[in-house]
Amino acid sequence: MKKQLTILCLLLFCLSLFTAGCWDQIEVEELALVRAIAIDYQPGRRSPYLVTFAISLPSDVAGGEGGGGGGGEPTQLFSGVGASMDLALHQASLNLSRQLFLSHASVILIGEEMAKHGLAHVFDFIIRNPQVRLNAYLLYTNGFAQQMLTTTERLEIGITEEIIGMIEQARFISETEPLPAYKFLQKVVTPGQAAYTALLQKGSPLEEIIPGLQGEQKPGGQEESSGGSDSSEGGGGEKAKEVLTLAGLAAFRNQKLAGLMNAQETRGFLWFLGKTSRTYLAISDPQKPKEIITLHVSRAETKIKPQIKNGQLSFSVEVVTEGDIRSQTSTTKINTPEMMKKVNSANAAVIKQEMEKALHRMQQLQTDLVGFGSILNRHEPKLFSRLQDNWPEEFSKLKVEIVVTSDVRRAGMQANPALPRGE
Amino acid sequence: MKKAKIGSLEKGKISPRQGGELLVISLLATSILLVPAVAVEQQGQNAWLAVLLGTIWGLVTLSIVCWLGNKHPEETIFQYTETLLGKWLGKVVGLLYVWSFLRVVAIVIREFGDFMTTSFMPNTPLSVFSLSLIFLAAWTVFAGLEVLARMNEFIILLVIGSLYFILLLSLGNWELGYLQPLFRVEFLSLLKTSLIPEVWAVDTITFAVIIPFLTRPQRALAAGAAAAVFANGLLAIGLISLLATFGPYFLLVTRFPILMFVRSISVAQILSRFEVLIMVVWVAGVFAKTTFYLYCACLGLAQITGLKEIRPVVLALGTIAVVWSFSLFENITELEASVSTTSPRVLLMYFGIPLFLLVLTWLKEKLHKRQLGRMQ
Repeated sequence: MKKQLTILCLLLFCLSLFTAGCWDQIEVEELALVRAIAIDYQPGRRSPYLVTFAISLPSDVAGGEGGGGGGGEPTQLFSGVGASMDLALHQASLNLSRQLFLSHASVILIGEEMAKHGLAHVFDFIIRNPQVRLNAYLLYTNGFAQQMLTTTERLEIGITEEIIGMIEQARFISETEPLPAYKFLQKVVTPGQAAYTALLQKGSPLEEIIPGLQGEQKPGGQEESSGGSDSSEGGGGEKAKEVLTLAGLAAFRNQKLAGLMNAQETRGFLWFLGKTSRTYLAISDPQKPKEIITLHVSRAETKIKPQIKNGQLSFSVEVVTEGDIRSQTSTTKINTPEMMKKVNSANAAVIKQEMEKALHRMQQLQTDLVGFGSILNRHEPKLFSRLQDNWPEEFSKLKVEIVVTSDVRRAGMQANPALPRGE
Repeated sequence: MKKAKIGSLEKGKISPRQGGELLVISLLATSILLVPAVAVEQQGQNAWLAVLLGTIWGLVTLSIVCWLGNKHPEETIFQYTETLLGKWLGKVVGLLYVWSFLRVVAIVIREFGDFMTTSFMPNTPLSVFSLSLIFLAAWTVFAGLEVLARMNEFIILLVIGSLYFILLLSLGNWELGYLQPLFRVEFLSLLKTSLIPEVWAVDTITFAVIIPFLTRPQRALAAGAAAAVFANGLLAIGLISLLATFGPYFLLVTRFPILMFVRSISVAQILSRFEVLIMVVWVAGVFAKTTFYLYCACLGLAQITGLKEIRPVVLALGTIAVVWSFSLFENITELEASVSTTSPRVLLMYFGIPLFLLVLTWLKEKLHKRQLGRMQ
């Protein structure tokens, strides 16, 4: 009896080796690991959803190609079209020797037309599909999302790594705010809160290309061309290869794109959230208004409170920020407590102006990105439930009082401007 | 009055702590997956209050059951119903409890299978999960209560450890503002939510079965109460962290919030992808709960029918539970609807009948004393 039982146990154990995963068993070698998904919408077509997958090539293929000079492309793009996302995915599978696997997708790009059409179906797909992870970043792109994945100018080996690197870098710049999909969705469903996500675009790597130098030094670190004849054509020249830029926000209202906020407006908006802990500000020199002093923000805290006076709703926003002086273009002596006070008040005024501009833009778009409505809901639930249905419009007329306190703590290594004595 | 000896059915003894651990696993295993969606849908950001209120109802059930256990030492609920209500009516009530325990087995099996097929293995048939689970459970029931309790001591470490680990890692995602406005609730609706079987700690009724097998039955109330408070306290903490991460609105968009919650964890882009821990909690916890309830049902049936051994009924009840689990719900929406409402049946089984038995015991005692007094 005991022997039989032992044999039975052994048999079951051996059987279990072959049945891991049951019907869903699949080898890693049979999976196509999707790293980024680009979703585009082509209006007017019967199958409008164009879904592009950036699939990381298996190491043996990618390593063989790019082992030497790093010329190999480690990701391959595949796309499919369909009347829905999963149908597009299904169609893309026709070109693949492996099964699409979405669990490793860490970036989801939304094309312009898609965002204008409305994201309801995209949400449905990413939530319903058990493979898609909701901490993948959701980014809005100008134009076609697919085009972002074809960018060849980059620092990282793969396009996905490049985008992820930029997302991580965004924390140090405070001019955009990339959100994981679940945080975006949270904002979509929360009453009195509009959703937003970072804006990814393509642009020239050089801010300005000086015409005279075009032939000799081509942008983007290209090798010099042998003949100078191209440059003589002037104006046109060789078109610079474009790089990705992550700056600004796309604001959404009712799952549809409401409008874009540029990098400066975005920073003004981030002051409302207290998320501008690392950014540069320029204020004009208290003595010579044409010159500037730059400040680096090291800490920012914001408190938002609703106020009701005589039945009139308004919000008070208090910002407390700390920073240090990083540079000045003039030789004004700013190394005195009195001057510091002036710098502080100038800084507070600059921040306030920036915030007001951002608020104006948000009110213009009727998107409550800050979530004034949800703050009101927390403090005055009854009042909010009355305003809730018409909140975007209420928000656009909302009065917000901004008070900024700036504390410049340090001024870097320079004590006095480098000037001859006595001047 | 003739009583069936317990010793013939269950020779093992478990400590009160082990009994409490069985209760903890029964409470936590399923509630952590199902309660968040239900409770938040009805109570928003104050859902955790309903869980705390539910704990009190659980403690009420537990105290009734423990009081009964002390008044009828060495007897399970299946036996003292016969003592109190007479042979036939007692057997009927006992069978009602067997039916109720078996129903829990069936529901848990179905929940387990549906969760696995929905979120991890979409191509695998439901029956694979149901059959393997009930096979394992039946095997463990064969081994007896002591084996079950000792196995559970290991499982509970896995489950509680995983849950705490997940909650700790999620701290970075918390936004406490989502919990506001606090305490904005209507008491009646809160009461209604707290009476949903999963929120109300109904599993405390299992103590009516295991008290006679405790090494120190008088400690049953303390152990059970500690277990119920601990399990529902952990559930409340889990709810708070879910709410603080997702907010009361997005939580309702997802089918299994706890799974989404675990997936959202990403500490420094390195510590992520912890859903395997939810699998551990779910598979191990559900296995222990199924086994425990199947054991209670089998023991009950064996005692009611006067069998000498528990074995003959295990496979029969196991088979019934599997078939029942398939036929109980047409689809996942029916399953969700059934676990999100309370019914008079629940009130009767977990509160009405125990209370009735309590009153009956008390009256009988009084009558007995009066008779004794008259005799003297």
